[in-house]
Amino acid sequence: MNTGQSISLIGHLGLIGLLLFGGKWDSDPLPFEISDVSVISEAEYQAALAAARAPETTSEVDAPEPPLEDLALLQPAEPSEAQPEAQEASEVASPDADPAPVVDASDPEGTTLDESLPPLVQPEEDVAVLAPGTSPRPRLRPIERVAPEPVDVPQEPDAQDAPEAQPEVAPDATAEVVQPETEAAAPEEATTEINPEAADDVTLAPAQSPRPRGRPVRSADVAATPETTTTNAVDEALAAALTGGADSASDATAPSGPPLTSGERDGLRLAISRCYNVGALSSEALGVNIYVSVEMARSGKPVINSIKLLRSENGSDAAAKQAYEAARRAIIICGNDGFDLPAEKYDQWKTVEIKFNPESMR
Amino acid sequence: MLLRLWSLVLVSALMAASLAEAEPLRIEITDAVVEPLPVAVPEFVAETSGAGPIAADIARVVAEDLKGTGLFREINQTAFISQVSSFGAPVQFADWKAINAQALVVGAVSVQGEQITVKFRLYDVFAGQEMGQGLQLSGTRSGWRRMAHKVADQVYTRLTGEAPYFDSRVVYVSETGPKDDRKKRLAIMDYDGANNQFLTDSRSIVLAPRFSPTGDRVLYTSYETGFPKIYVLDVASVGRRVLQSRDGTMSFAPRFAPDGQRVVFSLESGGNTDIYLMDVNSGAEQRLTDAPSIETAPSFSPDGSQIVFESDRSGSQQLYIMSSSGGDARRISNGQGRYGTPVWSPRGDLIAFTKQSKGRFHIGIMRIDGSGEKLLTASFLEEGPTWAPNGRVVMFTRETQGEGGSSSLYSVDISGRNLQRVKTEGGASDPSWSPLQR
Repeated sequence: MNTGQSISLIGHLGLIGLLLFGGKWDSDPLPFEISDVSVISEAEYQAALAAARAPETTSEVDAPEPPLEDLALLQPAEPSEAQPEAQEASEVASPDADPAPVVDASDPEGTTLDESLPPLVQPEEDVAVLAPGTSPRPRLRPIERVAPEPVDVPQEPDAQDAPEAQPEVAPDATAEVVQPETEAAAPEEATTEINPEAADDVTLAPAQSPRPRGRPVRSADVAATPETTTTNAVDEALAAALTGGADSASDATAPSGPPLTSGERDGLRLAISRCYNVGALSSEALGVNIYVSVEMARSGKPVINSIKLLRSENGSDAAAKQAYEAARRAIIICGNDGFDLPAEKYDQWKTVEIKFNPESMR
Repeated sequence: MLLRLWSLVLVSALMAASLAEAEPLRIEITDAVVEPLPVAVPEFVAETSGAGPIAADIARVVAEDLKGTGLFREINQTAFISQVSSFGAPVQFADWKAINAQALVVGAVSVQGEQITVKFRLYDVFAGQEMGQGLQLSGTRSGWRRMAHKVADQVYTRLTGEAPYFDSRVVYVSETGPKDDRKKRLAIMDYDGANNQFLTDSRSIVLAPRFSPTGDRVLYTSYETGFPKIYVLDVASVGRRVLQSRDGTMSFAPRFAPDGQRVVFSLESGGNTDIYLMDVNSGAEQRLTDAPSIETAPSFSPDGSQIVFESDRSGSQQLYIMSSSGGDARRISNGQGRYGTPVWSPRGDLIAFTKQSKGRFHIGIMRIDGSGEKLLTASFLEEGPTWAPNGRVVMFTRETQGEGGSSSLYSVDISGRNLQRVKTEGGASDPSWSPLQR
């Protein structure tokens, strides 16, 4: 049993206990303590008892609680709609007004019967008020049909078209069978709140997950020879390597780890361009585009010996060489203290290929 | 069993190879900076006694040449951490890298009598290696500046990829005296203003000197006879002779053809000015234009096949290109304003010109089809561009405003940067840049 269930159990037990013994803690009996106790005759007692029973039948009106004085004070304050009732009550009450004090006087008798009746009767009334046992508890909500509007719009025409098509199809019996099926489909659509869960269950099902394969059944002879297992492993590994398994191939072409953000790329670009001085380049060299490759150390510093000219565009070899020298100087000079690159993404910038295209300077 | 082990090795190799083929990070650099390249030119090593002053002078000229391009910044010698005491000593790249020297020029000079020998090496400091091979030059003591220019040319070419131009000369019109009584004479100097020499006296007005393709002769226009006539002057001997011309005509604006044997010029006859071609030796003339408008300022293309000139045939002064044998011309200038004094670039891809627009003068360049017009300068008055031998720099005349205004020579990179005044003795105008000396 978990904590939630424990708390729920305790709560429910407490509630049941409250329902059963809630009267013990009820503060309503307090007015009895302040009532006067007097000795009366049996006849008076019977009269008072009779008077006391009358309100019991009208207990639903809660008449006993307020004293008559309070009722008299409250009557003018009642709204006009309640006036007929009040008038009836006054008319009825007016003759009872006199015994009313008796009724009030009967309360002390109740106190004398504390141990027998009152605890059984009054608490029931209280329970009727407080406990929901007989109260109109909210019924279970009907399943809300969220789908009707979207479902009705597209499907109503289809449902209406179906009966017309059925006679054309000919067999009436089958057509009649089809219609109930469409009607039965409507509630399913109305309970689409439940269906998604079923759909999730389907999609999340591990049916296609790469489960480890079951061990091959060993024959007694084969299981004894370890060489066969080695053979299998080598063959499988070799086959996987030669066939270029999808996983290994994709891992090889793309560096692992998160890619550089555009900001990190721009930072590197800006750092190099800041040192790419084309002021001393010939006009021909300025028109050349060159591609330069450089290996980077983890510190962000370029490996100078790795800088190489990959290819060039739009110019002679001599001009490309001049442009390359300027590019090389830019990489070395601005990378002297290391470029500001994220160390955790080293695999992404381990090798950098730079296209130098000073088009804005031409 | 062995086969299986080899198989395992093969598998490992395949996996390692596949991992090694990880995709590189690819970025593109489209922006750059344009700054002078820091260069260290320590004093050249004097390898013989008495070579010290020349070694220092040569190093100074080399540094000035590089600095004068605007493409390089000389690092002050006081910032040097290590000194070069021996030409063959290993270079302490870390020391030069520490002062951000991106190129290092190390040289040495030895003197034997009147013969001097200069050798140098150029280093890429951040690459930690030599750029090209060391070079050694020999010459006379009097020619030390040229040797310095040669060294600077090599450094410049290796660093920029451009053709050299430091070892070149400029012939120009030297101007002295007040504006209303200005004396003009031809002068020649190194491109940087050194070694200035006068070629003519100031008794007559001289205009528009132009170097021959080999730099040994100069064409110019002189009013010596009262009429403008074309002379050809031998630079070495300063001897001159007038080109044949018909009486009653005015000849001016001459320029050599690339072959050096023909001269294209303007001839005014009967109030009409057209362009003619003359054989220098025979004096035979060929009329290239025949229009009632004024055609002048012709300039050959480097291959000699075409001529660019200015004409007002359209009603305003514009630039045209025609075949070197004459015929129809096509207009290449299309902007607003007046275009004149076109000069074909030694590279053949650009034409420099003077433009007058909205009351100001400009020196500009455009492609030979008229596209890509770019104005490099602007001032009260400037004109007469001439190309450096490598086609990267343009020199021209700028005249200041007012009665006390004077003419000076300026140079500017074709990028429009590095406008500099050229050192001359007094006023100067109408420059013509020589080809690279041999």
